[in-house]
Amino acid sequence: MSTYTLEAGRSNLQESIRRSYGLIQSVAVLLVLVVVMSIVSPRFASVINIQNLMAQMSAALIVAAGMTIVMINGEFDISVGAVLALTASIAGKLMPEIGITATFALALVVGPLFGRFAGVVVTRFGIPSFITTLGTMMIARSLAFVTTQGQVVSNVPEAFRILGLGRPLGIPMPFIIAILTILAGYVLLNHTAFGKKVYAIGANRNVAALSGINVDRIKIICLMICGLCASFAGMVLLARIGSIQADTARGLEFEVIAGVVIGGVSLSGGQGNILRVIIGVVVIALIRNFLNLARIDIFWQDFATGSIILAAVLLDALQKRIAGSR
Amino acid sequence: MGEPALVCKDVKKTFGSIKALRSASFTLEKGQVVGLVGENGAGKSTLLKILAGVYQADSAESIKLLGKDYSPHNAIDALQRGIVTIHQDINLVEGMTVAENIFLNNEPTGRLGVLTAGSLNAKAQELLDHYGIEVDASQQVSRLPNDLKKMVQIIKAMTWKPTILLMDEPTSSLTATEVDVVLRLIAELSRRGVAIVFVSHYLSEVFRICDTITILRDGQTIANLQKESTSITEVVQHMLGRKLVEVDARSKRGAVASNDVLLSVRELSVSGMLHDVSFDLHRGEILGFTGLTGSGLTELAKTLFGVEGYQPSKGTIAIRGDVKSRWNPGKAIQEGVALLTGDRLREGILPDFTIAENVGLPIIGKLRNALGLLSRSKIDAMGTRCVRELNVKAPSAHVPIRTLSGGNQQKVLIAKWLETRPQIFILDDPTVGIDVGSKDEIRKIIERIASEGVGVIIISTEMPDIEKLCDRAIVMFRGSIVGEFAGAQLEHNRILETSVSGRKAA
Repeated sequence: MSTYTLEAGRSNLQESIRRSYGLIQSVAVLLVLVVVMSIVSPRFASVINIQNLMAQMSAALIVAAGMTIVMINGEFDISVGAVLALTASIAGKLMPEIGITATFALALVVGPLFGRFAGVVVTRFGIPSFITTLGTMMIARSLAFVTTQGQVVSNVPEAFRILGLGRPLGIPMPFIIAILTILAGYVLLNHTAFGKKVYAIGANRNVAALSGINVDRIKIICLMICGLCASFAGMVLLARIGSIQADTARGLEFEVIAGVVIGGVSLSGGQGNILRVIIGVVVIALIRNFLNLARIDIFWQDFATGSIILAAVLLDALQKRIAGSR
Repeated sequence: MGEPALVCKDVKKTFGSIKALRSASFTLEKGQVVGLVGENGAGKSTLLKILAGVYQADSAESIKLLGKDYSPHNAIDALQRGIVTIHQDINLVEGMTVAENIFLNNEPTGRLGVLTAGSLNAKAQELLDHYGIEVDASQQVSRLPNDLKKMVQIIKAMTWKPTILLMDEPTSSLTATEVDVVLRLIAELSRRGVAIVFVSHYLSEVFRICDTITILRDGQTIANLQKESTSITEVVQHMLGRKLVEVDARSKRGAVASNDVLLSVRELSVSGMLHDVSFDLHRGEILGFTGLTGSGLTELAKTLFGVEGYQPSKGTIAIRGDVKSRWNPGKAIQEGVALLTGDRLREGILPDFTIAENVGLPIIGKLRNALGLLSRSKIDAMGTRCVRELNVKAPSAHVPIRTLSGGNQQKVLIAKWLETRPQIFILDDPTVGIDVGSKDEIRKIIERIASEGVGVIIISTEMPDIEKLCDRAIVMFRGSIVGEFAGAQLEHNRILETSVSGRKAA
């Protein structure tokens, strides 16, 4: 009996080490990256640069929280950049007219509405979410241009901008908000029944359905949450920049998906840790920042980022294969 | 009559340590149909594949095709020698027309090698008319019903001008009326001189169209019989062998099932799957459903549980007297129905989830604390209880379920459904693919569940499950109930005969 419990304890420990292995590894990669960058470019480690970085990556982090939930569920949402821009455009236009609170309430409905629409199309008609949200992305982007008439919207009230410019303890407010959003996502995914259902559906939707889980409903809610995050990120971005254009955040969806994947979320769903996603998003932001500081030709920057994303994904696939063959 | 179309004598084949064919022999005359029958694993498929050139025989006294030695090197060789296989599945390209399918890979080339749709259609139509099949050759295959698809598949085979057609379960995907149509075509082909090997579990069909019947058991030809001089009962006895005919008197469980009806099903039909299925399940009863693969067993289980894609077209499901509509798994679980699915890997476990997480899936909403968050302590308690009570061999409830053996995984899945406190527990093939020890343990668990008053439905093609466990057994055939057995009547021979003939055995 005593050996039995001993074995149990050991295998539990091994299991928890195995589970956090990815996280430990990501932190290590991040640290190496930071050290290398600090050596190559002295400006990198300056307080101002770090603060800028934090502020800049906050929108991507907030969007990544929603994207992680959707991807663990086994779907994609590529409309996030456009929904962000549409929300910010509408908010920028409305705020001087109807005030901050009312605008906030209205703006945060935009994303969930798009998410709900996409979710119904995906679940009712069985159309892949990648294609469905390609459609809603174009619709949202177009509506953003219609709303702004192609102009820069800039008369945002100063009171609202605290959300974007505040720096408690020197940390940019948008970054604090982003981390809180991720933490909320962590609680939702790991400590609620809803979260377990999200993972179960992503792992095997048949098993989930046969366990009495309403798969369609959960999928729709996930896309609504993702839309909510995109809209929320739009508000935070508007507060930080103070102005908005309709083509803001073009391509954000792919940057975020790349971050989520580097953060270890399985492309086929069912697996991933949202805390590790923070690191994925940070790595992408760091690389962009570093390329800027190192004065790499702007035309080559996407080439470099793309290569690093591929390398990260390939490394992950390789590790899985090795783990699988053991 | 002259030379027989095909003579096989003493064909042998082993795979590793398994003797798939010990000694198979049969003779097929020109223009006749031979029925090749036997239980699963008797060697029918192996023999067919040797004839089709897919496998090579280890040894054979002789295999002669029209009097000449025949040992094909591969499938193409067999095809060129005039032996064509019609596979069990309908392997047509759905998006193409009938004509395109018929001549796929065997296109008749016109002048200059050019192929026009018009001439292709005309040639195909000619063939179809020749065999009296009323199908438009220019029609898309996806629009055809199953029987016509099967006919197109057969006509496609005829373009090779075969001496011998090998048909593997040609009617298994068809409904009863569709079977008639296809059997008529097969009879027509044999009248025109094609020799046919007809492999089927459906003995009533074998008796309708075959001239001779060859029975295989454990890789050996047991008998070659003329249809006129035998009966289904005799064939079944040959298939089973003497050893299985003697059955122990069943040790009945103590309590006889009560009269308390839990589940009442009336004229339940699902188009293309189930027809007019009616039965009652009582408190504490173990009711078995059995039949051939494809007789609608799994479909019945899924329909009773309200699974998507299995909506009744007719009939009612009543739980404790209440007729249920808009039925789905969520509602079924709330009403105390549980379904252990037959496909453990694809529809049962989430491999990377822990034992506790797998168990908790249907009742995850109840495992919450005062804050509405998941309660660690409730999940731990549930997981530990399940591992202990069902004797699951695992270090703890927090290891991924994939690390367990099949039998232990199955126990965890049973625990998962017991946690929903079911009153009606449907188990689809509960002992499939697991070790003998676990099989016995699972049978004991099932008996215990029933003795606690749960109504149990066991769906199984494994006779021991049905014989040892069930109070009553219902036999299905092509989606309909064809027989019910209880008490001393409930034994292997009668059930198997009913399963393969579609008529209740005396």
